[in-house]
Order: sequence, then C-alpha cells, then structure tokens
Amino acid sequence: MVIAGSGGPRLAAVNRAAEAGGVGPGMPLAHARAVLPGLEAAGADPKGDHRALAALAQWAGRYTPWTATDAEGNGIWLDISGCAHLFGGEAALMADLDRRLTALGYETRLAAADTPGAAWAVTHFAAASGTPAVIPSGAQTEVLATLPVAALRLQPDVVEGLRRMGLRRIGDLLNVPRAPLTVRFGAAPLQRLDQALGHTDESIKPHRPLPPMRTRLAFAEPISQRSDIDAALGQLLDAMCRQLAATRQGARGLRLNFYRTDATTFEVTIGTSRPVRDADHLDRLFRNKLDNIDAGFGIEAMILAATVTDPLDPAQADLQGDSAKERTGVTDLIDRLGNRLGPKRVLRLQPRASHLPERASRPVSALARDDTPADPLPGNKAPRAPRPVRLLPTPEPIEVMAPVPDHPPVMFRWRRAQHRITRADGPERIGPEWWLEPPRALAGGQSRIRDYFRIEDTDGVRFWVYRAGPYQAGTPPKWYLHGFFP
Amino acid sequence: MPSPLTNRMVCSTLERIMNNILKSMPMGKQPGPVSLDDLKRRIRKLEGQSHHQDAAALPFGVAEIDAALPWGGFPAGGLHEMTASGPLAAAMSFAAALMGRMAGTVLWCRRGADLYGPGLSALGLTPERLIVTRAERERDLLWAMEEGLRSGALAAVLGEPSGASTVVLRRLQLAAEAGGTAAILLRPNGAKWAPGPALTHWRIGAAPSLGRWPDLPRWRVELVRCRGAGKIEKNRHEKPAKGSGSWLVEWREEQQNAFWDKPATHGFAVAAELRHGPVAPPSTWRQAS
Repeated sequence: MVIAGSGGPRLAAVNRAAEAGGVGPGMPLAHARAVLPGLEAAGADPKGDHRALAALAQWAGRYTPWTATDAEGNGIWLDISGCAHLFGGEAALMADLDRRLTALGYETRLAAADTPGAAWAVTHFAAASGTPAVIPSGAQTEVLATLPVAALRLQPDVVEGLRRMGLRRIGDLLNVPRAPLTVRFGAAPLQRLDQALGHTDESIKPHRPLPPMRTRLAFAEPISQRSDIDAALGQLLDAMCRQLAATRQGARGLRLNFYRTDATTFEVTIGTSRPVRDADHLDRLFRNKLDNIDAGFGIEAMILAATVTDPLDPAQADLQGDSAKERTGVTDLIDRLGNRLGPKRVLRLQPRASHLPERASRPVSALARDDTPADPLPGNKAPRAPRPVRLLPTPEPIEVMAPVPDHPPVMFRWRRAQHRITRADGPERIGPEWWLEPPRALAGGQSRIRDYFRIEDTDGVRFWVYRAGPYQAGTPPKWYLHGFFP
Repeated sequence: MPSPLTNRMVCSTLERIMNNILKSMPMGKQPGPVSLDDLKRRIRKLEGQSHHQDAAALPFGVAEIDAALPWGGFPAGGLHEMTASGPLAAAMSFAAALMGRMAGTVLWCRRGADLYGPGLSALGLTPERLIVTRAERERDLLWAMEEGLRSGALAAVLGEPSGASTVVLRRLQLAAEAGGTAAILLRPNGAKWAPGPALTHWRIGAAPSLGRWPDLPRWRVELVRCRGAGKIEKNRHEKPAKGSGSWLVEWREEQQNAFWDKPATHGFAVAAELRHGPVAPPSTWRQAS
C-alpha cells in the first residue's frame, strides 16, 4: 500500500510475500520496485481503514459493550472483565474471536492482560499470529520485563533517548530512580510504565456510551425468518423487563443490535414518552420497525440494550381509574406514533412566556420528558389581544395601501390577489425583548418593532399583518402578512 | 346502502313477528320479554349501520343546529367531512372550537407547520389537550389518523389529507366506529373528493363581522348532508331531524370581569339562519315607489 511522503511515494504496508522479498514499510516506492520488480502497489486509504476498524469494533460489541479503536496501533481494545464467563472463559473467548476474525480474512494478534498497556505491549511485540496470548492476572511484570522499551507506547525520540542511556528493556526501567528519568524525559515514560504494570488506572474510552442494561441472545444457527426474529425479540424483552423490575426502573429508550454472519451490524431504536416495563407495549413498538430489516446471510446474535432508563415504582405500573387508563392510552398512542413517524413529528404546542408571537408557542416533541416548569406567575391571566389560528412560519411580504402615519391598510395585495379592507383593529406594537442579551435579530433581518393590525376584507377573511418599524417619512414602509384569524 | 323503506319495512315486520311469537309462546318457561329496541339495534349492527342512535352526541349548545341533527348533537364514533368554502383558517377554527367543547385529548394530523397554539387556546383547545402530527407522506398521515381512531383514548381526530378515495374513507369510518372516536376530515376550498360514507358533511366559510371592528369569530356553517336524517325517529311523536341547514354562527365569549381567575365561558351561538331563495317581504315594509 502506497502513501505519499517526502521524496515521493513510500510504502505504508506490505504483505508477507513482499516482506519475504526484502521490502518493508517506509521504503520509497522506486527503491522497492528496484528490489522487487513484480511489486504491485495500490493507494493507501487511511480513512477507509479507520472506518473498517470502527466497524470491526462495533461488531466486536457482540462480546462486550466496551470496545474502542486504537487507530495508531491498528487495533481494537475490548474490556472483557465480567463477560468472559458467558463464553466459557477468557481463553475460549479469545479463541472464538480469533477464529471469527481469521474467517473474515484478517491476520490478528490477540492478547489479554490485566491492563491495556500490557495487552498492547504483548500484541505488538510478543504475540505470534494465530495464538492468542492470555497473561495471568498479576503476571504482567514478568512478561513485560523482557519486552523492548518501545512496547510502552512512547514517542520515538524518547525511545531513542532511553536506548542511548542503556535502558533497552522494560525490565531495566523498573529499578532506575524515577526522579532523574522524569527530569530528563518528562512524565510520559513512567506514567506508561505504571499504567502497564497496573499501578495506576488506565481505562479505554468506549466508542459508544455504555447502556445501563443489556440482554443478549446468540443463536446456534443464523436466523433470517421474521417469525424467528420476533420470537427472539420476545425472549429478550422478557429478560429485560425482569431486570428492570428487579431494579425498579422503566425503560425510555431501547436499542436492538443485530449481528450478521458477515460481521456487519445494524440497529433499531425505539423511544417512549414515559418509563415502561411492559413487554407487550415494547414489542408492539418494535414490530413497526422490524418490517424493513435485511437479515443478509443470517443473524447470529441479537443484543437488546436499554439506553435510557428512569425510576418506575410498582405503584405507577398498576394504574387504576378511568382517567389514568385514558392517560396511559394516550401515552401509548403517542409512543406508537412517535416511533413510526419520528419523535420530531409528534408534537405538542407548548406555550412560552414571550410576547413575540413566533416565540410564544413552541412545538415540542410529545415523546420528550415533561419538564415544563410551572407557570411563574399563576395569577397573571389578564386577557390579551387575540391571536390568530394560523401563523405563517415566515411572514410574507405584501403590498399595502395605507394612510400615513399609523392607520390600518385599506387595500393590500398578497399572492396576486387584491383584498379590500372593510374593518381593521390595531395597531398593536410588539417590540423586541430587550432583556435578552445579546439582542437577537428577527427572522428575515427585519426591523425590530412591529405594528400589528387585525384586518378583515370584504369576504370576511381576517388577516394579521404588520408594518416593520415605525412610520418614517420618506422611506416606504414594509408590510408583512403573519397569520390568519378565524 | 339499504333504502329507508327497507328499514321501515323490516321494523314493522319485526313488530308483527314479535307479537306473534309472544302470543304463540306457551306459558310457563318463557324467556324474558325481548325489547324491540334491542332487536332493532341488533339488526342495525348486522347491517353495518350501528352508528345511528347509539353514538353519544356532543351537543352544539345551539338549539337550531342540534335540532337539525338526528343525534341531537355532533356524534362520536363516525366520520365527518368539513369542506372549507372560504379561507382554510375559518374551517380550521370551527373544527377547533367544536373539538374544544369535547372532553379529552385531540389529535390533529396535518402536513404544514402553521398551527398556532395561543389562537387555538382561545377557542377552547388548550395545549395540553392537543397533539399535532406533522407527517411528511400521505400514507403516514392516514396511518396516524387510523391509529388515533382505533386507540379509543382520544376524543377526536382531525386530519387534513390532500386526497382520499372511497376505500380510505371507508377505512377511516370503520376505525372511528371501532374506537368510538369522532373523525373529522378537513378539505380546503375547491378540493374534489369521492363521495364517502361520512355521517355528516359540512361546509364552513367565513362571515363578515358585525360592527366596525373585526370581532369574535364568525362562520357560515352549512350542513350539506347528514346520514340518517329524516329516517330514524327517536320518538314517534317528534318530527324527524331535517339533516340540512345553513346558519350564521358566531363565537360568544363572556368574561367574568371582576375576577381574572374565573374561566370565561364561551360557546357557539347562532346569529341567523340562512336560506337560499327569495325572502318574502313582510307586509310592514314600504314598497319603493
């Protein structure tokens, strides 16, 4: 694989045959061609490699949810503490992983250890391809002592400096006084050493936030029939709801991951507006989304994760009474609508304390948590000026004939139709909210002050129009149509 | 659809049959008397016309309109069509005011994004009772309507599809009956749809205000067609409902002036009944010479 570099294209990676022929990474392409005339070169695609690695890390989620990619080292971290027993032990898990990756065509080196540093060191400098290495707990000091210093993930200049000082192996570093090393090379070498030996903690950042709860189902033979998938989903939901009941919680967001035999994954997510522990309701929500999935060559594992959970008391789960039943009926309906149409398409028009008409009502997803704050001034219900039933999202400019300075229009023209006004009410002056810093510009870059008029034409159609800005002699005023009254 | 004559004939035949059966039954072990209404209801259900008298009706609060409807009000559990004969805002606001009078949550399915909460609250449809779906595709809109109707948890579902075939209308009618929810279809001016199995068909237009200022909302409401009008009688002695009519309806609001926290009462009021055709001049008018 060829990548551009100083002095011409260089080799970024070579396969075994080329390595046997005497070329290696870093060699200029021309030199490599001279050494090995039959060399085939293809452009390197680092971004594609990253993507493939990320997809592999996602696929590795079938073993543990805690996976991360290590881009520089071309590797994947897996934190298998606590899930090795599901696969029959660490050695069996590693053997399974090795087998699957080899079947996919990758050449792998696997190592399991107490700390990420030790595992990295062993895979890059000690492990032979094909046999996963399992380092017993606590034994990393002996194993690491024989490895070169570069196995500690240090910068090349630091490695060179240590080599010049005669510290070639990690074992040499163990007995050297720490303070001079820190002064000479900085904190990095000793920090990496401590991390590798387990004296300080190092955790890998998972590529996805970990779900609070997870249930897993793997199949002996890959499935692709819809009925099988439904049955498996039923089992997963039952197990999940039992877990939720044990912790007195309800799920508000669920994610179902499918792992196909060709190491690709896809997922289906649902959300609900209130915490739910009812397997039937969740099953119904999933059913709508499972219609279009493509099982490919077969699905070999399904993992259901609860991404968002909320406390749910048993008392809330058994509601009595008609109004409570109706409330659950409405929220169930909102869940179904929201999961099929999308949470941003099922809305409630939430009122807001603002006198700007476009900000006074805000469409809020009906599935969102109901965090509306209580009315700050409950006693202040003075009647306001009437508001239209339809409000245009952006006001449309109209041509208006109106007596100056502040009289309502007598005639206006909108979308090529002329309207003669018979009745009008106004003006109602709405100014910008000066208490919001910095002052926000209104849509369309119009002037801040608006004088609104309620006008009615000869047919009885009522409009809400406004003039942008107070009247100024000499400049023609700009009028806009903002809404319609009943 | 079976003709009204068939219904009447069936009912009267049934009466005779029932009387004969009751007379001919031996004394002793008799089942309790079967009410005629029960049998009528069962037959109507079998024929697919179960909406006629069992549906709970929401009265308009206005005597003229309630008298024109055979149910004495706006029936739940059925499909209703409202066509806008004027601006769309007029039909939307009339439907909103009507739904504001119902108790329970209401679902509004539309494609546009211009519903304004404060305006609807003034008509009685407060934000906590309203759910709006903004479906992009037509079939998502119809699916949402059907889901809402079947769930039975809503008071009404209002939809604004851009076109609906007879099949779709029939589906919505069945869904509305199954859930006992009122389904209202709003059509803009000029839209032509296939005739459907709707219970009532209205035409709503804007009406000019009285006075010098644009005042409270006013509508020209026309009940174009009504299923079951003139055929089903609640009581033999009452006149059957007319099933059509045209009114000038306005929205009355009464504020309690002294105490802000008391809710304002509001409702429909008929300003005038509109007729087509010439109006006979009363004799007190002076003829123009």
